Amino acid sequence: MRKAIVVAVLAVLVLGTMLLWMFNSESAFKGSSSIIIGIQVVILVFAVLVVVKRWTAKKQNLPAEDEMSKRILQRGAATSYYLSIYMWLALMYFEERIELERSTLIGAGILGMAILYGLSWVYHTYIKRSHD
Amino acid sequence: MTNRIRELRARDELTQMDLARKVGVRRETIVFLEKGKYNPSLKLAYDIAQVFGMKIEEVFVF
Repeated sequence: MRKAIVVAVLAVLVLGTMLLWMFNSESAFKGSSSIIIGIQVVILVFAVLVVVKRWTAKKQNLPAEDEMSKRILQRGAATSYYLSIYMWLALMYFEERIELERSTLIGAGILGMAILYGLSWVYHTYIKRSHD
Repeated sequence: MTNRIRELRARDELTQMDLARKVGVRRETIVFLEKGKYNPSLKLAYDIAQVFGMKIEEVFVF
């Protein structure tokens, strides 16, 4: 339950920071910034889903995490780590060909890793036929 | 590895939720166990066998 509260607090902090940035920045809704906002919204939705799932489990008097869900998290982390190596290689390749600021590149890489982790979790939870 | 969880659950008139609560796992884990898509730890297999009053090898068939 504590983890769910921590995730909820972090999600609210990120959302608050995003809103502040959007209302104080003129470039927030232009070009690549809107893509970044979209990605951040996806990550926030994912965080909200995690909190709701844990909250529902708590109400049903079931554990928030059990041995299978922990194994899915581990598998998701392993898969996303493996895929992120190739993503960073691709980013390094494109860095030489497209003019990108280093901070933008690192930001894109971190967001990409988060998205890969989310996708890996979804794959191992809903698509993969076996959790062994 | 196959198991008789669904059959034994029906015999004892337990829902998946009931069994999940008794052994301390999420309902999804029972679903995946019944479908044969997840092999439980030794402790979970023992707990499930205990719920049905049987030995592990009578519930899980190797």
